[in-house]
Amino acid sequence: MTPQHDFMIAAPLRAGARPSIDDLLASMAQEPGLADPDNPILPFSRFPRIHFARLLLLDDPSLSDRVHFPNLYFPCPVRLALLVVCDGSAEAQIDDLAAVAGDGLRRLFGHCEGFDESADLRRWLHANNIKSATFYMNWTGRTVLQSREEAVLHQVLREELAALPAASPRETKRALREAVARRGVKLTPESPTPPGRWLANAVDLIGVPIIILLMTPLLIVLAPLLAIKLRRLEKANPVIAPRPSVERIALLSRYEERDITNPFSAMGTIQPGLFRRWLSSYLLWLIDWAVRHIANRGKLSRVRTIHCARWIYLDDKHRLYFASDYDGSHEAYMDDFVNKVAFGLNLSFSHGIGIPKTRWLLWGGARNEGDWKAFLRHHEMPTPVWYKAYPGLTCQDLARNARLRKGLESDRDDDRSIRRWLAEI
Amino acid sequence: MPTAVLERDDIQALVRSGFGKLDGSRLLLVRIRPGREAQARAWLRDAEVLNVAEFDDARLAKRRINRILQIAVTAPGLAALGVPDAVMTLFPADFLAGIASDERRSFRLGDVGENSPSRWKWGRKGNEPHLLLMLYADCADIEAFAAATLAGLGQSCEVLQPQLDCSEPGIEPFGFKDGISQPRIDWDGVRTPGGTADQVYTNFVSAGEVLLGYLDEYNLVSDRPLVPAALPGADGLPPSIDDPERRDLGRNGSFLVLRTLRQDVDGFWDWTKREAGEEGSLRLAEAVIGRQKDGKPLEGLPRAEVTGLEEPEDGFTYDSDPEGHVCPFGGHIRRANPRTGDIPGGGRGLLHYLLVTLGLWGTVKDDVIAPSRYHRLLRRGRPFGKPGTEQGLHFMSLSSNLTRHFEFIQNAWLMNPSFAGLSEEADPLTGCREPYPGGTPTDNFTRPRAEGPCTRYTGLPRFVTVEGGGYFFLPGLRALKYIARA
Repeated sequence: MTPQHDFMIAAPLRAGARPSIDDLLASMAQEPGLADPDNPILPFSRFPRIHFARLLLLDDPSLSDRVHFPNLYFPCPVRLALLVVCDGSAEAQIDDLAAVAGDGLRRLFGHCEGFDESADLRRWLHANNIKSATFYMNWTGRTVLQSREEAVLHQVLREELAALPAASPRETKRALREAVARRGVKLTPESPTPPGRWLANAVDLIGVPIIILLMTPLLIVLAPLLAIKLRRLEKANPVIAPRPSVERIALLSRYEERDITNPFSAMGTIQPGLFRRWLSSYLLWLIDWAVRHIANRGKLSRVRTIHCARWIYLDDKHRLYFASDYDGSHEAYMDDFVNKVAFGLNLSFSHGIGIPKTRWLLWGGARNEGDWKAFLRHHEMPTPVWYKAYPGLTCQDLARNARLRKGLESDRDDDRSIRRWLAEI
Repeated sequence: MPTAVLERDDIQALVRSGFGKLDGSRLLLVRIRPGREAQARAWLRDAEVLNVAEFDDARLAKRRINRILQIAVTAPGLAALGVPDAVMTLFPADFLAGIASDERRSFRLGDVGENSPSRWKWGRKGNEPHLLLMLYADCADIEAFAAATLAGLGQSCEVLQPQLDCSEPGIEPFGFKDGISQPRIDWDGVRTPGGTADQVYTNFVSAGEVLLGYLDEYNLVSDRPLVPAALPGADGLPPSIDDPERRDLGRNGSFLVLRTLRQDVDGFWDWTKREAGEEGSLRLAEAVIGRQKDGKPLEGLPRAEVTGLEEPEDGFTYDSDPEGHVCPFGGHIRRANPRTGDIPGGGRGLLHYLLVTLGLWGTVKDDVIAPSRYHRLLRRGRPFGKPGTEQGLHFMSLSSNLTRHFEFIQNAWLMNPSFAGLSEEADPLTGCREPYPGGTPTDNFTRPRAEGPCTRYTGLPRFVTVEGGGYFFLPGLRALKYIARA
């Protein structure tokens, strides 16, 4: 099993570099937002382990909200960011990028402060890798290669099944197996799990609950104080959810729906004070554990449309950036947020300034439909360059294709299970 | 807490009824002539627009109303009538932008290829109608009613062509019963949404799902224009229920979508015969629509307890058909209203609810479809054309939120080629057949079968073509007076 990892290389933009970087990013896209996979700057198609990648400017549109918090001072540069989700080690992927696309990366990050053309690119990239606090992957272990091969398998099964005469389920399956072999559909066996991963995983799986258990007595003692503090902050946080204008929606949607999957990027400022900072860190740490060990098989709570999601702190945890890759339209994504997983959004985002009113950390918040949708549009940033390794395929498609392969390779030959398998083709 | 809808004399009667007893209808699309705004406003102020209270009284007294006028207005129409910018910007962005505003919205709605707004007969950007005058009367009288209305308007307005003439409601041109399965609006304020009862499908919707200014399915009031009370004329508007400083220009109004859909009747039945033969043709057509021709549910869908039914035969869900063997997932009415509750398959106690919410329970098919109650439309469309001529449907819907209701249903449920875990197929009835980005085809239709392999139809021709459309505001009557004030 090959695990997936993410990284984000980001650095502050040089003064005056904006027009030039905007042009360069636009030149990498075949239509607004959708990366040309063979673009000469960063030819994503040459990196077979990359699932998703994006380049954007982390330019928080909600910065002015901080007038409500006069004591909140810290520099907040606009950054150029490259985000990647890949199979296997992030470090090795960064090395690959530097080796294959060094010139393009130099051109890109040459727009950043402190970037030295003559210095060691690889080292610079590693030094500017900002780790995510939480990383969710729809299906841990499903590689790019597997996704692509199984998509071909589905296509072949569809074609062959349409051409077959009616027969018993068992005969049909046998004929399909033969056809798959005849047409030389390649299905690469799973790679071995990296050494040490099982042990590390097991330690992680039980380690976190043990730490929580050890902390629990302290938390119980402090609970009343923390609860009062939480409610006070919740009541004091002003709701800042201006309704988006026609122009703003047009600007953002220009980059949407160039594939059945869409990128989402939003950032905001964490409320001042240690309480929010610690609570936010603690909860994101817990969620990261939960998605590593529990929500790693096709759904995040009830949501089945998110390929991957990352929560990344910036500027000494004063700011939080959220990036995801989701199936369907923006409005459908919002529907999932509001109607299925509002509690999770409240847990992870209610530490930000301006969020719709939450109650006791879990309730309210994202359930305030109109305010919530406006709040997210208020924090959203366009993604001018976005790459997906398997265009046109949804999380549902990938999961179904994996089931088809499993069924094909399975020796279960009762009519019922074969019928179910055939029905999915 | 939800309250009863009491201001019934402020609500246009279209919210209550499609006026099926009047078999004639004409939809006039008009633009106000520059320089004639005052005349148009004067006409609007005096227009006799039927309200719900009058309609209800007449029905109760078994008194017939012979002529009915209803009025809706577009964003350019509001501007033309002189509504100030400061008030215009208070309307939601989707209404202000309009249905044909940009290529991204058109894509989401399936208005691409032959359906593109550039090919429309009406509603193209820059030439939108300002007003929609909906006239209802007996067939024999509709011509005279239209003539009288136009005479009243005089030179203030230019009538756009085509004039949309409707035929008798009830059966759409493919031959299927239409306008059924309407949601039931909670007029009496008895519904408290979000309880365990909503874990299963209900046909009830809170008043705020259709009417602006009332609590909706989230127990919130949807976005609508709230006018500062100090603005001229605002004192004639209803107060806002959640902001004492403002007056509610939206209250008792609704957003109306009108789309002219041409139907290729011969093409549709030729295709079903080609694919399924003479004897299988009707069954295939019924699978495409998702119900029988006479409006009954498909045979094999058992009756289910559904609260808030308008018609008894509408009492079914797809919970008993999780594999789509009776009604295909892609069947038009299963897409347009999947009849899902808040919890897939219905709730089974608190523990079950928690497990489902955390994602620890459920099958691979659960939660691939959103809950229905946030995405319902009140439909008021009427067919047009006689056999042998151009036929189709003037689709009309009412709801309080264009994006969450009309656009969501049109995009996520009808045009999305991955609806319910399907692949490469959009709505078999109304799909535009254009490939999705990346070349994903959308012109297939799958009928699952208990025997195993699905029957898959490929290369579906287009049966429905969009020929015009617009987003309108159907104001409450006080709001209409405000818009038309001198």
